[in-house]
Amino acid sequence: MRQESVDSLLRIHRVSIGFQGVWALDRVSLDIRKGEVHALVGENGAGKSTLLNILTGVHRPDQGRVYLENHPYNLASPGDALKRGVYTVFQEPNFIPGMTIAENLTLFSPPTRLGLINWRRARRQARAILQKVGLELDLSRQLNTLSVAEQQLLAVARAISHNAKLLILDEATTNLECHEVERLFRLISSLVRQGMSVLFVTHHLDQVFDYASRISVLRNGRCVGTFASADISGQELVQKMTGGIGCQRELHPSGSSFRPNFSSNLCSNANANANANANANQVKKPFMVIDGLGKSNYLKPVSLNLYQGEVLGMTGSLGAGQTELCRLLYGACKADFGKVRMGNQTGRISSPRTAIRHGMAFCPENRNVSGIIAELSVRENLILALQAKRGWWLPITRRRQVSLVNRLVDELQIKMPGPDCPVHQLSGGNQQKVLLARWLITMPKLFILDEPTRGIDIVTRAQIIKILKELQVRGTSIVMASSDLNELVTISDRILILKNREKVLELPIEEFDPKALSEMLGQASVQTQIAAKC
Amino acid sequence: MKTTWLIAFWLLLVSVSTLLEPDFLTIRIVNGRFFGSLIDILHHSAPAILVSLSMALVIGTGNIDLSVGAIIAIAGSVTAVLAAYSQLSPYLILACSLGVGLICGLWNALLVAVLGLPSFVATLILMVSGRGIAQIITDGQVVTFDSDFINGLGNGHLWGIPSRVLIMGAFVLFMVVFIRKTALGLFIEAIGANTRASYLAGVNTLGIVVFVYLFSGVSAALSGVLLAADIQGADAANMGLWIELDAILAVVMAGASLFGGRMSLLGAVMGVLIIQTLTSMLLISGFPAQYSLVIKALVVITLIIAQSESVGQKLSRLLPRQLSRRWCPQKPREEL
Amino acid sequence: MTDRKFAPVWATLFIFLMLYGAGAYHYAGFRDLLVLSNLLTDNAFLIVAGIGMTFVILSGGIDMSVGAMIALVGVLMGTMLNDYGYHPLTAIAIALLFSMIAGTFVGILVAVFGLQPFVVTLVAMFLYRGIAYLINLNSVPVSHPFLTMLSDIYFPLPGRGGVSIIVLVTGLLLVLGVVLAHQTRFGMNVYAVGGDRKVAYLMGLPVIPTVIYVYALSGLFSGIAGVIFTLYTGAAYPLAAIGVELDVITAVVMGGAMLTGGVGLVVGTFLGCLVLGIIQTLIAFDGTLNSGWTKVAIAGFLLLFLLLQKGSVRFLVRGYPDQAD
Repeated sequence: MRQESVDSLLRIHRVSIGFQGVWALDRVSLDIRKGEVHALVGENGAGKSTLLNILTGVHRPDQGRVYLENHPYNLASPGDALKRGVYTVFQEPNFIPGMTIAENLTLFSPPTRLGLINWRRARRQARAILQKVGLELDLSRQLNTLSVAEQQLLAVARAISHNAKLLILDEATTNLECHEVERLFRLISSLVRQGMSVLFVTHHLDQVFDYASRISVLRNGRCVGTFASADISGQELVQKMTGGIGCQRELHPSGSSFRPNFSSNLCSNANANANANANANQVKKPFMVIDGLGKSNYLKPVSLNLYQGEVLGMTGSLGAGQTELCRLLYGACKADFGKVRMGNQTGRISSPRTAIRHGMAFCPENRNVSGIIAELSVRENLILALQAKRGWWLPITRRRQVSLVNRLVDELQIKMPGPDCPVHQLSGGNQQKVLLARWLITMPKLFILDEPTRGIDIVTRAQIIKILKELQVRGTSIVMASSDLNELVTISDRILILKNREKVLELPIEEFDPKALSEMLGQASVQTQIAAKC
Repeated sequence: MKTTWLIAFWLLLVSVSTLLEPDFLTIRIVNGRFFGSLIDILHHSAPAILVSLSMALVIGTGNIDLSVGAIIAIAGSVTAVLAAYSQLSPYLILACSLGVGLICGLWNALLVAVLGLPSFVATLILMVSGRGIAQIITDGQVVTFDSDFINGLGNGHLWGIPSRVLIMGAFVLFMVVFIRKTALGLFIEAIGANTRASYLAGVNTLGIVVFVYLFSGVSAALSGVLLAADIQGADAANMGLWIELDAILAVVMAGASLFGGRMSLLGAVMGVLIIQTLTSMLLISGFPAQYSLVIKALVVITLIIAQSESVGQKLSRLLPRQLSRRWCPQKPREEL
Repeated sequence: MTDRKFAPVWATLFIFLMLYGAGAYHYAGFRDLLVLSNLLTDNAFLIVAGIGMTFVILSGGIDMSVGAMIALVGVLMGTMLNDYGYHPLTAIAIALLFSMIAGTFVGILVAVFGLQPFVVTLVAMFLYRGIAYLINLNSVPVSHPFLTMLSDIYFPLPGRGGVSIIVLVTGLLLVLGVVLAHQTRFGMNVYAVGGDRKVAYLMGLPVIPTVIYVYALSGLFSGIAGVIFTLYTGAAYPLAAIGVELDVITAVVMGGAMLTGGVGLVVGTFLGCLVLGIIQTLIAFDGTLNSGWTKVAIAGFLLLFLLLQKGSVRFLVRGYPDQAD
């Protein structure tokens, strides 16, 4: 124990922090040694970014301690982290977009003479920094004209120039090509040899095995453990991250009194039709045909058939194109090419309003930014889509609103103080349920969901999955993107795998082997990246 | 809630005024017309109330309209010039003036909603040029006219009540019903609070923003007609000068954020009434007139600070823990 | 690549030269250097206030209290000279100190309490005008042998033009503004805070102090503009300089600054003020045109600049389509 604390650089000791009723981090302990590359992996919502926010000084832990070189590491603001030698390179690098390279590199500690910035020296220093990382860039270029890869290297360069003790790479390699990643790590390994430590957070497990010496796994806010990368295989790691198949039992809490009941005055003939068709699913007449839908620089053309009462699961590593496909389907982003056929109509969905008119619904990936309307009440959030569909001149009466809200709150077991309470006061899971409810009352024929269970606790996840199953039985076609394989396996009829913004595989659930996919996601991305580029 | 506080504050002002001047609340009937301080206050605040209500809508969508004063000048000038130099029927003149307001609103909507310029600069363009346009229309003169119908709009009476107050009352009633009894209010607040989410939920974001600017243009024009009718003339340089700033302050006093979201129509009306009541209170209390601006500014900033949530949070952090718990939501316990 | 940053400035300069060229072509009197030196003298207060406003807008805020501050400083000076018999230098010092403190106060309300800059400065505008009314309701002459001496300082240039003390001070302040913006940590912080407040915070820059300084600076510069305005008109009047803040904002936007913050140059504001000035001069030279055309022309150029800016931004920031939403 004594030995370990001597060569440890940063020690995180039983740190907990909670937001909106959920522990984002629950007694997490971690130890980063001097001169090691330490990887931190976990699914979305596992608590990685929260942990990083603590290390960078954005959040303060509710409980627990952090030590840097055996001194308490208490930060009042992000500036303190930098002063203590902890630098972070984010997925979107931390630069002021409108300023030049020289200005950005000088910003933190400009060399001054008589109180004025000595630009000549600043430029010389900046050039030296650039040389260190082997970048040849015009110093007077504005930051937003650089590629992300260049910005990332620049961010590392900036950290180096300030003699960082700990360099945190927060998904910093996500937007890089493989040779750029190599270049970055060649640079980093030389620094690690000089005693710098690196905390490497990524979704690319192959990079984890290539570069990290130890790996810590977070799941649902808890630290599953720290492993030497030589002692663990990619499959094992994926299992540790997702909780393995053993998680499935948790998805169906036995004592759940959850019983959705959508039959009401709202679902009239549309629902009856849907029911009939759901039973006749074997006929397999697609109700929507997607023909080469795509957008340049966004998503390579995808062709798909959607069937009534069927769940299409979509997965792939982060940024593989799931979100893009969802958005193109819904018209949130206009497609450049391809066609969509629905019934007798052929064309493109040009806007969300057209999509809704065709009976679509969309639960976006980023709940807070594009889903809920935080300031409005639960009631208003809930009726918004239905009201928008009806138009402003046909208001839903207050009584009807209240009865709708009460019914859905009952059915979806939304926990809230009252229908007129602002929705941002609800926990994340309940907010997501409100979003689902918003679309359920519009009786969608096609429900597109992008990561509907991200960052949500297990019980609510199970409830959401159950709600979707009920919907499916009633004949709604569901397209769901998720990075949680267990979830997809429990609900999907078909699985679509995307990689590098391209559809690579589509297969019925019976033929789908989660292990095979784990392997694929665990090892293949470098090869495909090379293949894609060459 | 916030509106309740504003009404309470207004009642406080009224009671103070009554203490200072026992006649304050009395309304007499002279020649079949109502007279009294309260009627006066309503009469004076009518144009500002018209403008504030539509400003509340614009701010509700998270935009701003700086050009209402300029639109007032343009519409007033059109009214005056048409009434003075043309033989058009007064109804047609009224229609023309409102139509001009509609065009101004359309121009703003084009810049903001279609071209996507930030609303502050987009409406600044009409704010700067509008008075110039009005001066061009009136050729830089103060145009006076004589028209019974238009005069009646400004100074006439119906059932003993000043017609201006009646028009204002009808407008407020119409607005409240129109916005709150249809789904428009919901859409406006949704757009202001989160445009992107509203768009994805199927709200016609473009259409609603165009609508609020059109509405703002027309109500400013109506206000301009009333102001022109009042003095039976138009002074392009000074008509409705700074009324947009008064309106914005009234809306902000009602607790609205300039970033959009929750809006209070009644609050905006109360905001204008408070400022107007304060003015007449200062007048009857014998304060020299020059004090009024300072006192008004201080009252307004106090109300705004009291409404501000961030200030509340800042202050509650300074308070002892027991007290602050009331304002700072407690961190909920673990859910599992 | 620096020219990209200067592109709006070149555009403003181009328009200024075009307007000047048009004037010189039509009116012989326009070719006189006197027109240029008058342009500087007439718009000196606008330029000085514009420098302060540039910093506010760079930081992502706005200051609506500029015109009122100009009037208030004038009234303060008038009272101190006429009623209390202070020496002009003392009066100027006190007035400037007052304007800076008032600006600091506004800055605290904006930065610490998180109130919206537009609202706070709007109330400040009413407050300053109100205080000016309290002190003095009428227009009073501001004169003193020392001030006359100052006004008499004049460096003649060939062609009937010349440099007055006002222009000299304005030039100095302009240089000071440029140095402050580009050669000091404060200036860098202002650009950073306006460019991306969150990034600035994550980089450990002093966000709140920077915003407070910015409003203090704007207060000070509008104070100086008030002194210049008083010297220029020789009178103090609480209703003076009404709406100047809008002219100043227009000039700053014409100079290429973005109201969202982080983009803009002090030199651009200077040129923007000159464009405003030359439009006025042109319309005055014509003599037959309604003065309303000045405003219409200014608004027209403002729109032109905004559209150019928007177009160029869309052109510059291509690349990956909207991942964010």
